[in-house]
Amino acid sequence: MKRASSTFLVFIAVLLCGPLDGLQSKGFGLDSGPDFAAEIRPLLSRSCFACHGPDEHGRQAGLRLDQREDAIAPRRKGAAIVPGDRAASRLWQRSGDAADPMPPAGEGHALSPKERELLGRWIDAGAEYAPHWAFVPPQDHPSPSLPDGLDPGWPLDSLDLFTAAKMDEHGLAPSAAADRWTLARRVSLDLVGLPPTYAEAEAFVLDERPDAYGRYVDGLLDSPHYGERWAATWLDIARYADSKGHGSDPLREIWRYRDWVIEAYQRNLPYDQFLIEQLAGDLLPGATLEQRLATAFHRNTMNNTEGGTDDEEWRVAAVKDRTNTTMQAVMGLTAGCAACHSHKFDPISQHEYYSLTAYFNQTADTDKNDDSPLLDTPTRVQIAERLRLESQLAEAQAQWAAAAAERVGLAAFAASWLGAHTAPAAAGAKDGLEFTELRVSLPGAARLLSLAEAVVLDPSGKEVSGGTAAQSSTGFAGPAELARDGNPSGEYTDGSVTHTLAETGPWWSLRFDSPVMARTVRLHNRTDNGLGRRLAGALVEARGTDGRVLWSAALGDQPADTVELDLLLAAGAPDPELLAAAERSAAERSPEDWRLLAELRMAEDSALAPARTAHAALEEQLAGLEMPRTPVLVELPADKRRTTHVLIKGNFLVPGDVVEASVPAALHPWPKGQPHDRLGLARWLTDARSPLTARVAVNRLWARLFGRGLVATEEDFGNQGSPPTHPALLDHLALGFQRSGWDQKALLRRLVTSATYRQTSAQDPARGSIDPGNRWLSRGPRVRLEAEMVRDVALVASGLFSPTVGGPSIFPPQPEGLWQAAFNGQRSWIESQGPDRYRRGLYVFLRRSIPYPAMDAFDVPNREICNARRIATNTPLQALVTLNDPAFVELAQGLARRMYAAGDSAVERAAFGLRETLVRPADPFDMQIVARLVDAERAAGRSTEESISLACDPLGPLAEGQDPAELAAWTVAASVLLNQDAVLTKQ
Amino acid sequence: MEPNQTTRRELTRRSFLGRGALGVGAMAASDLLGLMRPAWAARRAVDGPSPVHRPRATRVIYLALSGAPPQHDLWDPKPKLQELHGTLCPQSMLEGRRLAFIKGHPTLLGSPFPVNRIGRQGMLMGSQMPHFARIVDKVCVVRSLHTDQFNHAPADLMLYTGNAQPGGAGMGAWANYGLGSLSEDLPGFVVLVSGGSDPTGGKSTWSSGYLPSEYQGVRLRSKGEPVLYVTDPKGMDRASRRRSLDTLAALNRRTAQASGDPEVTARIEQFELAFRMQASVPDAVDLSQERPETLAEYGAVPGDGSFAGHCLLARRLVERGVRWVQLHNWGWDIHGTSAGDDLEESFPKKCLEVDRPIAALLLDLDRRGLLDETLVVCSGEFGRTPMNEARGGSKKLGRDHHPDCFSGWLAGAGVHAGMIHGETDELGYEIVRDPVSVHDLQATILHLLGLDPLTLRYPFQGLDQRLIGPAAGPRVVHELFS
Repeated sequence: MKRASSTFLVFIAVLLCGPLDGLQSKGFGLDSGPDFAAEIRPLLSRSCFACHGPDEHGRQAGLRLDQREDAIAPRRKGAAIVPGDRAASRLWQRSGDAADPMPPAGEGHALSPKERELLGRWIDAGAEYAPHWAFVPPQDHPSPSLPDGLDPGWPLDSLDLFTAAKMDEHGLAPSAAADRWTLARRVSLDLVGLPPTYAEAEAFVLDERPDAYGRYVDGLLDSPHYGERWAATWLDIARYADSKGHGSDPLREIWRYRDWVIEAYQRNLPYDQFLIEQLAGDLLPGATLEQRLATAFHRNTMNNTEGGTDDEEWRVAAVKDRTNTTMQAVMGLTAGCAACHSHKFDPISQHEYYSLTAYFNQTADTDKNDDSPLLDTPTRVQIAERLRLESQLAEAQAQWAAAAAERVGLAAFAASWLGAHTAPAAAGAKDGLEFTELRVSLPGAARLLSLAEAVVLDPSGKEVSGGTAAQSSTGFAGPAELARDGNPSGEYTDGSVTHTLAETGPWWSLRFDSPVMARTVRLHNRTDNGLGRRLAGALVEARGTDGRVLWSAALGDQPADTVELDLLLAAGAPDPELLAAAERSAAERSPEDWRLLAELRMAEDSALAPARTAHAALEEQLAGLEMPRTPVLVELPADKRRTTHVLIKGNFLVPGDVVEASVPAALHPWPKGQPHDRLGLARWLTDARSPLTARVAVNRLWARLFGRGLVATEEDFGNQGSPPTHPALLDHLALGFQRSGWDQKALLRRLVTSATYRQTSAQDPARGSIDPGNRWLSRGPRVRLEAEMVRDVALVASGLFSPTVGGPSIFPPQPEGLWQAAFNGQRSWIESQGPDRYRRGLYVFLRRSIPYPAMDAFDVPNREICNARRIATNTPLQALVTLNDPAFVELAQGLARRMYAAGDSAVERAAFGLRETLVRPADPFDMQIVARLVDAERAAGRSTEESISLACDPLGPLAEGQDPAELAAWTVAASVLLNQDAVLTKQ
Repeated sequence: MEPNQTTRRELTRRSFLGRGALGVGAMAASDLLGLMRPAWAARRAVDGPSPVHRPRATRVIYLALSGAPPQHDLWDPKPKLQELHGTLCPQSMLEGRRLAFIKGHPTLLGSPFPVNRIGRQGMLMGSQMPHFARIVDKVCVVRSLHTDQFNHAPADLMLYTGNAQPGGAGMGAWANYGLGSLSEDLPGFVVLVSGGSDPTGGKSTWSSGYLPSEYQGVRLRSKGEPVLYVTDPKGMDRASRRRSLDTLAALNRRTAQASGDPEVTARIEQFELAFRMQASVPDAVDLSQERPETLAEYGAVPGDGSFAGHCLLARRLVERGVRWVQLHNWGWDIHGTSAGDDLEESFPKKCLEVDRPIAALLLDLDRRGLLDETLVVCSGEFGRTPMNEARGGSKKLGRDHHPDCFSGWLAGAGVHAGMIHGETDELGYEIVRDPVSVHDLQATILHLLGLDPLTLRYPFQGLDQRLIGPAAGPRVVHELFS
């Protein structure tokens, strides 16, 4: 009977409006059935698409249910779906067939009776399909009207009308506005990641101007710490880390990228440009250093330096990771599934996936151990310092050259030099050369110098021992001394090979306390993995005490494993041209003669030793200048471009069809005239027609503020993701964001000044029972702080906070020996001292395999892959961190000293502590609770030594005359205050 | 419709506050042990998985011999290989193969050690683990394990998290996600590392991956604090810690009242749990509480952080209700490139290090009646070649990485004792009967725990993630069960 009637209704509908159209039938107020996008597609996707979806290889029985024409096509046993007739539909029959159910028992996700009924109703209503919401571009929606009974003064932004409508729909009404103290802390944490000081919050609370809140928000948006807060959120997506990830997880220097992100947010770089520069900054016309640095975004991929690995395998892995990360970060799509087979849920075929990888398959990096190609990326301060030294060097050089060219002295020098070199051979009957320093250097940029051993032999062939070894820099556990350890093994793994960092003109030197007499120098080269070739073109010099080069030789292009050099062979045979110039009288000498002689004098005249030394010192300073080198994307030249293949089951050894760079057909069209390279892709991703880019970005900011995205699955806007709770609002915000020129600060301002955001987060049981997760936004957000903020909030309260922005990562205290487990030589964590110890959480050194424990405990992902959302947990390990981690104990000690200094009575001091941690006036009852604890702690009978430990380890000694027992008691109280739920939570 | 992750988290939190969520399997175990108490993270998702049948195992100890022990010298000896020792390997063994380090045409490497027949069945076994003879009738040896990874890091991840790429969840995390914990004051997933180095897969090997991080393996350290920050700051005693937590709870209760947020109460509970852990963890790791005879049986010295100590600690942990204990012992990467990884020099030392403690553990569990419901598994992450690696002309003996076959064993908790499953060819290069993939092994372990490996899943990045991977194929190896 039921069946008949619903068929009848459909029949009527068809009569009335011609071919059935889901939208039109809705207009009639008939039972149009469940909403396909919101209710039906998720069910089909979850339970059916794995075998009857877009993946042509996984498809069973040739049936696909993701497209209507296939689903309703007649089949031998009847169509899967007969619109309007559930009983005739095989889908309905099989899903209820106990003997032979669909999905089969043990496979896929069975349908509940309720879900099956939903499907039945949808079939009866005509089984209309609609495209997945996220692939339809955002549309303008009129603002909903104000719900009945709601104060017309409540909405402050059009977005509030959207949330109010949804609240109303679910029987909810907005909560009262949060008080100003609460709001001051909430919005400060949200916008800059730091709490306001008590004074800042108080100023806002007392500000009676009508636009007080707007002014307070503007102040935060202009804060120098704004960029840090938002960078911390992006670094999860960028999978930023200070190490390479695979195998022994060697360290990587890439913090300049982190600083680029901070600065980009700080100067409010429009979001589209933010993406373009990271994806393809190097391809922009006239790319600046900063734009090329931005491409380090995609060099955060993991690198495998394990022995016996195939670099190509890991290069391909990095290319896939770049593809997956791009789609995930920008489009909220999980393209990675399609690496092995066509996507089972979203319209990305395997061919399309590899066509996407083609954009990223054309860069020069090949999983080399040194992460090359690297870009010199000095900071502004470093550039200034380099310029200063370079100009000093130029000046020193000019003075030195001028001194050498002075004619009278030069003539005298030439005469004495001539005398020395034309003296009878008997005078030179030495059987060796006397020198003080042996020096090996490698001219050129980005070179690594390694030596297995340097042996100096005297004329009798005996080894000359002693001397001090040094080198321009040390990396890869290869200190300079290893070339003088008596072990000539050239195998790096034997631990007897020196190693510099990659730099310009690296050198190794052996300096004796006094001149030594020697005949032979024997150099043992590195032998493993053919890396001995790195020594090609090395310059070997013997120098005198004053730095004068007495002898030199250059190694060839293919240095042997062992090189023997005779110090007598090359030394002392003067250049005939020089001899001739010296022999000519002053009057006869040509300008060229004078020039040659002056050059000779610069190098050899002992009277010019000070100038030489000064010049060398500057050169050394310049060479020793820190110059971060950052891995970046470098596009291959046209003749070196790779062919991209489909990889069967994702295996790099089994290439399939050749593919050309292109984007999935189900997404928006390619922008006209753009080349098919990374830059074109970046422009496509940020094209105004993209259905996802703006929605994903808006949703991400929304989630950081409200604790949950309008699309809860921030990482997945595809068929398997959760549908938006407020689809119209999401579109409204996304379009507004695009039209603002992708202005993130403006969007944030809009969100935090809305009435929805300003509601109190306090829950009442009625609201809680209707909407425990606050999906309908009828109260403000209350969520645990993100890991970085957990640290930052305590830092600020301790009074120790160092506000420095940017720079190399820091090493706050961590338990001894954590890095000892590392598989390679890089095992020491050298604790930062001074202000660096007290810098924000986002600067803490992040080694993928051995994360900083406090960050790990508070859910920072390990940054191996792109992570769009942290799931906040609540575990006892977190309590152990904030109670006992010496880094937190130190901050409690800092706060204790501030509290102690803030008043004369326990209650005053307690009030101060409460105020500083909660950023609101202290509650008298709370003050009593804290004061009572301090009384008990004071009476606890600690020995002086115990009190000193508790109050001073690790922060350091107390001020003169302070009582350790008293400060120990306040340290206990301070730790309690820092551990309050209201401190660890944004409310 | 599948609840999304956030909803699920909300549900799990409420369950923790309300009534706990011990699964069927966990209840049974508690009854057996007389340990009826709420769980550590009694937060097994209420709407998530639950045991689908009566579990045979309630706890697991995984003995991970990291670096991959040579099966030809241990559990899958090959007389034929010994006979052909030193001859060039057949060309067919090289065709279409990709070997990690071997170059050119290698020779076959017969085990330099005698082969014994041990146990009631007279099983053929290598002789370097003499104590294995004492337990061989309690174990089921699988000679037909195989993986698809031949570098340590991805193979570690493949075996212990089900996915060669980082980001997956460890087996121990899955077990706790599916079943909850049996202990109110210890983590449900504990990791112990010996042998001087972490496994190459690093921390990802016991990560919670996409599962909530409370399921992550907690590493007990041998030096310093057993669990990071379990010790109060210097100068603070237990009474002071108690007072400070009481004060904190008083302040937090006021916040709970004002905010109406149940999460505040949950946080108070977590601080209490931390307080209990501060006592229970040091107690659990204190091996000096054991009788001298027991220490001697294991060869354990309290506080030395050795594999022997870890075996004894593993027993103490499962006794206390830890659901999954994973022991990693590095040093089995017998390449023969130097004395440090030579088959004749290094390998016997490694055997000596683990042989007695493993036997002691199994016998101890058995005596205490724990073996009936504790599953013990022992394996490396892949196998090794029957060919001598001879890297760079090395004169030392050693075997290269080999993913196509390797051996391991299972014992206790419903596993068929005294049996061999699977077979490799006469040179131990390829499986000829009853292959068991690492996904099959994982499925089998989950099944023994009472979980359905096919439907135990967690939605993440658009996919229902499973320990055994998304594809069809993995099966429970019922033949291993008694």
